[in-house]
Amino acid sequence: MSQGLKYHIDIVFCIDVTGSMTPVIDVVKNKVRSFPHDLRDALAKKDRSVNKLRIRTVAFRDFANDPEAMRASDFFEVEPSTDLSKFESFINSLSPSGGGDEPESALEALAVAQKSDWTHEGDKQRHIIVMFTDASAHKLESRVGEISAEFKDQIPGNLDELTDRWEGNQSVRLTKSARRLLIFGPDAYPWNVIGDAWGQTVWLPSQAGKGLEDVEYATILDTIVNSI
Amino acid sequence: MSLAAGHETLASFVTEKRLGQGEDGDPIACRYPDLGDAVAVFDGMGGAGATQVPVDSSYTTKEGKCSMAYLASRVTSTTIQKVIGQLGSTNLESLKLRIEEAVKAELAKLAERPEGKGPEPRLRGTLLHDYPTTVALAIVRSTLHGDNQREVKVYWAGDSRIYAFDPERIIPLQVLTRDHTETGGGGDAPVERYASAAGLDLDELVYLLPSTSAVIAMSDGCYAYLTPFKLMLLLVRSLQFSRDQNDWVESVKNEIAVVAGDDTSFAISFGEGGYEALKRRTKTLYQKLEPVMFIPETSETNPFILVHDKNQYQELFEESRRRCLTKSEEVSPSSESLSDDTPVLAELPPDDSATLTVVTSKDVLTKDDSMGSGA
Repeated sequence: MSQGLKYHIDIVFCIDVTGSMTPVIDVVKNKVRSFPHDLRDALAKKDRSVNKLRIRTVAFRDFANDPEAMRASDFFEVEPSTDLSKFESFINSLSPSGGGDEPESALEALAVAQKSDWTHEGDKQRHIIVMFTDASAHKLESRVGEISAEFKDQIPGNLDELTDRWEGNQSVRLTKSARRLLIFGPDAYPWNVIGDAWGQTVWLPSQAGKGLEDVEYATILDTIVNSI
Repeated sequence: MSLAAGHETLASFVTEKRLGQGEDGDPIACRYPDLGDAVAVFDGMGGAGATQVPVDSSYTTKEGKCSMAYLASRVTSTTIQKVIGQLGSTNLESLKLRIEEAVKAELAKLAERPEGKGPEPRLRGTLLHDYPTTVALAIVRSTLHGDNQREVKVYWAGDSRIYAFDPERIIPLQVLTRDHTETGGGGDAPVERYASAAGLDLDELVYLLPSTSAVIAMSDGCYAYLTPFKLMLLLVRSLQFSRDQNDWVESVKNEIAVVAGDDTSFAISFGEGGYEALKRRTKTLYQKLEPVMFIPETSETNPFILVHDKNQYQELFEESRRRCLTKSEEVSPSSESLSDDTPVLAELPPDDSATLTVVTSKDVLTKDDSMGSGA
């Protein structure tokens, strides 16, 4: 009997929810119900099966001038579960607003994503962070705005510390073999640094300020599937 | 499956998990009169090389587009065959450099074609590489000293492997390469060294093996879905039940393909006496393996991996031997007991006696039984 490869997959979507991001947020909302099945089916074509799929979302704006600068969900189990209601509810609550200027607090969101309670179950795991943004990001050293108490302890002081976490220090449950970072973002700081330097990373440079309107769902799905 | 040049001593096969999309290149199993036997496999890296690019009709009859990995393994296989064929009599010293330069040049040419790096907008990042593939190559030749030995030079990048297969050794199937992953073998770690349009840096070792040792190249599709014991058992058992070389290679191909969740490629240089001698030499080993092949390897009392409790082992051994006659399911252990003083390998009782000879880790590889030395 074919053994195939069975995966426990955690995905954290970091989504810029400033006003310009309406195009990609609409894609996410339209596909929220079908995404788990689409992912499962696409992996099956590569003779890989999903034992468990969990999805978490970190929605961010700009701590410098947005009162609702960050919201983060727990992991929602979407496979093998058939109840997607909590996951759908969180996604449907995302409302693009604010922003209007660059940069945004994407590195803070990335830090919160790194600190997720990643799975260590099963034979093979994947810890995947998918970043959606059409803007550059504040430097962590700049310490812009007031970070809420919920997230303060999760955010390091500089990009070097963030990089150390990615490379596998013990402050996070990410594992080097399981980690993947997929960036849909412009050719600007920090994506042009991280995209070419961090291990296990894929970066699709996109047009700044256009809400990733040129990124199709099929591209997002293919990029996630091929990274697994 | 191909018989390959010098067919009485070489054979190979390649399988595609999905027809027309296989990313393992054609294996090499060829005798070069002035050089020796060459066995090699090439496994295109599907994740890192997933970008869709135009096909190249020089290497495939496929139309339209294919993955970079699909082309990379095929181009690398063809290129290395050409390099070896042009090498000349004994000039192995330059082989590594010639292969590296030629492969880099050919893979770079693929990247320079229109849309050779994929469609715009182009994905970037460290997870992706242009035309990535593993390489595992062994050049096997008799030594000049008439001492019944073969020199085996292995060259590799990635997690495709070269094995030595000698049924009369205490460890019959041994890996001669070390995977270029963080762990060095097995697991899920990413491959850190491979051929690509950016270049190739082959690792290299040399061994002296008995002339009767077979040398096998395998992609991870062959070994990653079987434990080392089950892989060895598959090779040994299928040898015993095969009619001839063709039948054996076909049997290995089919049995591995049933369990593999990946493409597979395999190439073997049989060694002195060819297939017939190898079959003859595995007879005794098979007689030892057969009674225990139903004991599950996850059991703490597996006799080939761990033996913790002699009485429990004997109980399982007897049950497994009974079940072997009916070819039924694996035997379940009746209890779990662990011991700190854990022997590594157990010699099976040759007859019905209850006596066990347990070999501890320090006895596993003695100087006389060592497979060879890395250079």
